[in-house]
Amino acid sequence: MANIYLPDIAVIKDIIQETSDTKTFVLRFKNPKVQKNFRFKSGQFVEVSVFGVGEVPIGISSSPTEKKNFEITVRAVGSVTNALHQKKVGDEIGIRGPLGNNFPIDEMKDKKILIIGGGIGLPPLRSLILPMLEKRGKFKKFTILYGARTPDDRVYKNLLKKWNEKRDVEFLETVDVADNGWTGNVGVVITLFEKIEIDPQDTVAYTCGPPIMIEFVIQELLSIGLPDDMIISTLERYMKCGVGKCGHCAIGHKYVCIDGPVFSFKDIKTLPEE
Amino acid sequence: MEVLHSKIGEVIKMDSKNKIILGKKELITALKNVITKMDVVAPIKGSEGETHFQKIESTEEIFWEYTHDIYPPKNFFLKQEEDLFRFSVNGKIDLKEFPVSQRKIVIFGIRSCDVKGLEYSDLFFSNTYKDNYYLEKRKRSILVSMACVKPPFDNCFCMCTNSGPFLESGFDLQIVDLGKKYLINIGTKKGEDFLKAGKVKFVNAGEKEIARVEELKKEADVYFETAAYIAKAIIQVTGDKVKEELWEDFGEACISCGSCTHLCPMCTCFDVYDWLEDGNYGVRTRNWDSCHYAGYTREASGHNPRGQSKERVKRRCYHKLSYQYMKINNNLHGCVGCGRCVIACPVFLDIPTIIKRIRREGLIEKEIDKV
Repeated sequence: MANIYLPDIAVIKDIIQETSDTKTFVLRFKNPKVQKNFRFKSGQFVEVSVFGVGEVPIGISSSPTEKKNFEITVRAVGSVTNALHQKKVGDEIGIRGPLGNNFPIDEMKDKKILIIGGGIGLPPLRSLILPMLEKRGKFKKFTILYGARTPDDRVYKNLLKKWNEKRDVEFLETVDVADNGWTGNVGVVITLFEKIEIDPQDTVAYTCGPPIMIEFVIQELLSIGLPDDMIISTLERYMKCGVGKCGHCAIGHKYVCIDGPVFSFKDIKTLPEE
Repeated sequence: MEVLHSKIGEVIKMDSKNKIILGKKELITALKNVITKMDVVAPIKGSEGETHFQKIESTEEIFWEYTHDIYPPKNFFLKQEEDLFRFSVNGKIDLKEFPVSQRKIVIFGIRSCDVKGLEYSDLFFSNTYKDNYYLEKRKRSILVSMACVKPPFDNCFCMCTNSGPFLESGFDLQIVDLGKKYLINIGTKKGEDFLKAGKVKFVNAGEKEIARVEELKKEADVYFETAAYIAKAIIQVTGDKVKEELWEDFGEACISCGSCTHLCPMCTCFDVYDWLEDGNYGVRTRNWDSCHYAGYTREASGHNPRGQSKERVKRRCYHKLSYQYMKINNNLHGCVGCGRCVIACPVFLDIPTIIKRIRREGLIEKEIDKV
């Protein structure tokens, strides 16, 4: 019987310092066969092991169309993520996955796309935005909103610049607290809503960020008139096993790890607790 | 139910051919023969007269007048602490799984409720991802259950949860004590394996003996607690019709000790952690966890969606009592009425009490008329 708890070994190929506390790790499985069979979808996550410290679930942040390597973007918050930040290029870590469900993409063809990311919530959305932009013609208007605590806390600064320069992408960002060099928007991410036009009949919204942000974003989208099933969000829960067994991430009879982490508001509404 | 059990052990259709009669001495002989080939876990007497299920070396150790073990048999399949694999972090990383035993394990005398508890856990551990550690042990286990002619605990309420005192399925063998001899239901091929390894002669049960079992079933019904009315509580919990004040009341009473979850035969939550033996070698281990602990849902950021006791009690009740969970578990209840939480809970917030209070005082006012 296959061991669902046994990780594969991946090698850190590159590390990109995104912010003072966030790094992107470029990973490749040590065994080329494992790398070849590693096919994931936008929104899925992996369980990352730093052996001796523990295991954490992290959303994959690279595009599923990139086959050579895959990436995770990690903020150092707990014991495992801090230990991961100590790792160097060439070091080995454990990976289980891909796990969880994914963002719907093909179902949303010919829709106007609205993506709202907050802080460290942008990385999983990046795995959605990148393949969508590869097939830009399949979607109508494409809007990305990003909010971060401070200008320095913005991840993927080069990529943000590129999105900003793209003519076929409407990209707006904001920070909670500006610094001297910041000339852009200041305020929480929903303050950007009044700067854009949203067509509630024809738009699908994807959001990922801290729970409090998601709550406000969903309320705002509902008040604009987006249907429940066109609001796609991720849910966050403390997670251990990632395979629906340890129980930690259960909400009602759903497990965030196997039934999620992506839920439409239509699904979220049926969850009985909280 | 049969769908699942065909994965754990091939089910035999229940009919009169699979009901046999075995003398009391013959059963002991069978066990003696089985012990030479398989690990046998059976009830033994503790120092204060209590019952424990433990691996035995000789049939002399068996406590035949046993009641109920305060610990459920889940520990034999989902160990309280279980090593998952070893790792070495000396330079390159190397992972090693532990060797898996091939030896069969017999749980002799397991009670009906605990068989149902395992049936529920079997479903849980084999849905979507298959938990190899649990299922591997279950596949090589043989459940020889003992039907409860009288309640082994004062607090048994399996009548309310449809999980005893006699069973129709879930066991490999079910023993019914007829006084001078046993009637045995053969439930699966694994049950036949036990009888083969026991090398004893038996005869098919006659009409009289089968009729006697039916009488015993009826007699047993009288002794068991029936006041828990779980179905009514399920309707209310499922529909979120229990008033907030009652959850608050439960939350204030609960001291989040986790006893009920650890002693519940169907609670399977676990935590996973690593420990290093020295700087270079370590083991990844899992151990029982409890949804009643405040840290159970606390995220690295400090955010805790169930930081309050009342939210955690509600969570556990939802898992045990909601129809949504029954639906995904072949209509099995999330509680098997074993009564252990009644003994364990220091503040008397056990499942029967919760069920009764939800039924009597838990309804939101506008819902009262509908029930």
